[in-house]
Amino acid sequence: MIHLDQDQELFEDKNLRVANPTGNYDDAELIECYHVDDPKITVGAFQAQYVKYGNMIYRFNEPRELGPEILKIDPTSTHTAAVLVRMTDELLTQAQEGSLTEGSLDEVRAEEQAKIDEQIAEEEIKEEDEKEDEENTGEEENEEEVEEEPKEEIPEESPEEDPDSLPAEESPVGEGPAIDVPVIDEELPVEEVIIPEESIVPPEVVPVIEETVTEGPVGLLRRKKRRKVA
Amino acid sequence: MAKRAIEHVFTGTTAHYDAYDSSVTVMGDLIEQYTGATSLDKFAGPTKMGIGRPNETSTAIPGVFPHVISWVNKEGYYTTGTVSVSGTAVTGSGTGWLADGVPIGARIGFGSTNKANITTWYTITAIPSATSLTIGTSAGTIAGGTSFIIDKEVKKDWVFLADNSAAATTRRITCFEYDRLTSIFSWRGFITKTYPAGGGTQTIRGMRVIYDKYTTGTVGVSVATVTGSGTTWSADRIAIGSRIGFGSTDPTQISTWYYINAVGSDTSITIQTNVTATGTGGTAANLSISSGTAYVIEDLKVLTATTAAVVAAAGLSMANGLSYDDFVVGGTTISAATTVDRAKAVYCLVDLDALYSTGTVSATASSTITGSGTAWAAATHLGCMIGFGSTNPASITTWYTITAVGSGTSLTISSSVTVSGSYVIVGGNGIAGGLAIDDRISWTEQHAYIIEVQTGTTPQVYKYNFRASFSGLGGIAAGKTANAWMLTTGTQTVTGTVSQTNNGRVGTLAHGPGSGVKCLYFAATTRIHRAVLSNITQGSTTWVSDSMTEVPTGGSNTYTASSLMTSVEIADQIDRLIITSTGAGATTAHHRAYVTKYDASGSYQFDHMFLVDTAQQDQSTADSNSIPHPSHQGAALSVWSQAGLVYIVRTGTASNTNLMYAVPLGADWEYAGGSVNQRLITPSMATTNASKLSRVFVSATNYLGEGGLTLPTDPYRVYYRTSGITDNSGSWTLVDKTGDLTGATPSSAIQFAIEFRTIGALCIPNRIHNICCTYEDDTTDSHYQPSVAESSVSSKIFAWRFSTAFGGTVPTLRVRLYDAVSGGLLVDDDSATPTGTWEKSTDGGNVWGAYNTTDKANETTYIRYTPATLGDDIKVRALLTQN
Repeated sequence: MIHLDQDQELFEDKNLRVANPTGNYDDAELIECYHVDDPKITVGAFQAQYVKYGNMIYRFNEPRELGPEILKIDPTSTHTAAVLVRMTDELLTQAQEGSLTEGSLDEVRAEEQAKIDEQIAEEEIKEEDEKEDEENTGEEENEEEVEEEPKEEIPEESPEEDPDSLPAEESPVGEGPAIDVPVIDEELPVEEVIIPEESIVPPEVVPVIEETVTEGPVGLLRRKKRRKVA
Repeated sequence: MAKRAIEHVFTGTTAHYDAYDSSVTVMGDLIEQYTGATSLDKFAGPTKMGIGRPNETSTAIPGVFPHVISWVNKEGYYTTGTVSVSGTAVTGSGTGWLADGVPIGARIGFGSTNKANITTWYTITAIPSATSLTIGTSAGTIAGGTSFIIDKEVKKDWVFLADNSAAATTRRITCFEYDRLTSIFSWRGFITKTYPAGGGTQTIRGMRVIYDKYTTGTVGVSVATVTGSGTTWSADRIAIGSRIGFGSTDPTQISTWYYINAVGSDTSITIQTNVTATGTGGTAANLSISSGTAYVIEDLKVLTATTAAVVAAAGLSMANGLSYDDFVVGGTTISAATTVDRAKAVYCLVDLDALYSTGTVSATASSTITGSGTAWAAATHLGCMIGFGSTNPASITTWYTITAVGSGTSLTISSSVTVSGSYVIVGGNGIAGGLAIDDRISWTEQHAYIIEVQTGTTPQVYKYNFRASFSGLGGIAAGKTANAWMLTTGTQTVTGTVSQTNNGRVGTLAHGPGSGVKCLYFAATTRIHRAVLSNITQGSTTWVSDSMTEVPTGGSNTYTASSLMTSVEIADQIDRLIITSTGAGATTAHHRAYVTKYDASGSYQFDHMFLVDTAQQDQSTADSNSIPHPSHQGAALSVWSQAGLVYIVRTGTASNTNLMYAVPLGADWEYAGGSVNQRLITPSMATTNASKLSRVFVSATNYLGEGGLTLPTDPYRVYYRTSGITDNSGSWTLVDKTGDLTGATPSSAIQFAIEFRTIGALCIPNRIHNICCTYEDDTTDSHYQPSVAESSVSSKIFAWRFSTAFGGTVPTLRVRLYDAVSGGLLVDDDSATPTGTWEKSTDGGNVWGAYNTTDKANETTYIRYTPATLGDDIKVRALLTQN
């Protein structure tokens, strides 16, 4: 998850600004951008992670390579790769210290969830403040816009997808970093493949190219994605 | 007759076929003469194999599906006029190096127009005009009127690879520069393609790079505005982001590039000095160039055919407005397009096959569409395009992109609408097997073909014009447009399972059923199929013309067919197909590749099998005594052939699996003669007074590597000629494997041509260090010594001691008796049909018997000759030679 502000400069190009509303976005979600000299025209759409961190995002093939690099410049990053590395590091530390327990994964995950929730909460407070300011100033334009497109409330994920409900024995903590936990994030359409390519051509004809997502236990985190109407 | 030898060492001056000179070594364009510190480094032969390691660059990006652009491929010399030099500035008088095509990177030497006389070369770094150029290092001060020579040989390819790392929502395209003269890959960098929304993770199934030069008209520049005369930039769809250079129409002569950031009209563009991700917002140029100046715009695009999690949201996409300078080590990210045409951005080119139109829709000034009787799903509709008012795609005038699918009856599109009633959803052809490109027809028309693998045995073809205006039919919505789509054939059942690995190549062969006809060739597991392009029409179910059955070289009793063919490439110089397999066969016999003619008879044996699986790893940490060479190693190979050089990339995602090789397959001896001209030809070698040619000896590197890691080089073969050397008119005769030249007609000179096998098991070309020819001249044959003791003046007997054995049957001997005073020939006789008397002794002349052709028996073997008639009182010189 990446938090972006509308009109925010792109990390890689100070002449480009975010056109999308302020809010939290999936790492790979496309963000429309405009040039500072001509805000009316969107010149292209970049992924949220590129907007936030620039080309560095694409210099690594694995999230476990990318994560540490993000953390160097943004220790509190909520980017999937950064979260993965932070969680993995914490679990490894516990393992080395001998404090690793069956509940460690849940605890670490809860900590990361709290950080995300905290960020979302801060965003909500900020939005509320801005809303109050707008109401106080009585600016009709803003009021109209808010009315036209109210905040999009994303419902909580279903209970069976709540990581807290997973039985403890399914957590592969005892076997090292939890990288094999199934991804159950609804927001990523890649999880919903209906026409598997393997069914079209026998496996020996198709090169072995894994179509995976860059998430492991991180996918278990709940992500409330909110959009602010500018 | 004495044994003589003449030797040529490959260290001298060279020339190319088009500048044939019998006094120097002549080479085909895939043949090079190398030099170095040791004698082993000095050799001539096919260009050394190059090796690239995509997964070992500073940003490790495993790459596949090479596409190669010949950036510069020049050779020859330029010597017209004279120059003066001051430091790095060279001023010409009577020069015209711009018009001659001298490229930046060429070398110049001063003081002579003869390359052999130049001891110090300087690299040209800029060519501002026909009478000025800049060199990389100072040459001091040289007075005007000095002669010079420019060696124009610069040969560099751009090699692009598609990202083969785990599928993701972006794909990277990497670029290497390959120097054909040094066989070195230099990593240039990469771009990241941001795909328009909705497709999910993308897997590239085919990639093509489009490179073209736009030079129409002339220009003048004022600050950052370029004004054209005779230009049609807007109509010709010149893209933002393309780079432009001034002063020449030849990009290899441009030293400073600028980048187009706006195309105002057919005659007006603006430029900036630096590359930016979107092509705009850079530092405005500030220069002044007078009108009427030549210029060149490089049009560079990267097309990919992908499959994705959401099938209909994949297919053909195009990164537009690129420049070579976007490929930098740190990477340049190319944005997904939005609604703007001709931008530096990635466009998805969708087709207009109706994907879904069940139910009805409604929306009122909203981007949220509500369905009735619909069953939308993100897995099939996210990222697709939707149009309203009809279920017929052809009737839709405005398209929107589906940016979210909330439920079976709710979806979000790229902008607000007020609609109700019917609708239709369309998408890309997302089961692509690869991508093939035809030649450019105009700046607004060039076709791409995607083989859609509906099922493994029922492909169909989608045809697009990726140079068409995207602003027409329905426009561009969230980076997606239907304007490029032209037609879709019906499915046609074929034999074999159609590959989804870089499958499809458009080209014209000069043989077989497709001779002279532009066709689309594509691979299935057991067949190579051919489709005439003109037969690829809307709805056609008979678009596949014929097929070629896999019959291994030597037939199925020699090698079993792999039934794993996966990709076909056209070997441009040699008019053949290069066919690779998945490499996944259970037996290593299937880990091979083919080079062959196309023949649809069903029984034609493929011409060559090449490559063999040695399992050697060629990563940089491998033992330095090992010799890299391409092999399947259980993985698919993807291939691109460019001007005879074949780039072979093994699929993989690790440093020890994902390797790239540049192999001079086009120099193979099977094709080296004729118009291909890939021989190594020696200078004319003098055989003064030769009466008999004996043998040719070649000093070559027959193995490379050291210790237990040695590998054999591929073989070579030698031709000779003794006439038509000066004017290159003489015909060549193949020398047998022993190097025997005794059947040759001697003359005052001999010349050799060497051909190399490069389509081999290992594809490691041989290296020729020197070549030597032995012959007998017109003095006494070297096997005999005149014997005074056994000769008799009074009896007119001439004797010789048999000093050196022949090693077999003694050839026919010839004796000539000359008047030693006048030089006149008195007697000319031979041992096979003698007129005089030939005798032989094996006991030192005690007993003489009849002459025979038995080889030397001992050190007391003698022969003698008594002429039938010979006058008296004549001083005679006797000459014994082979006949």
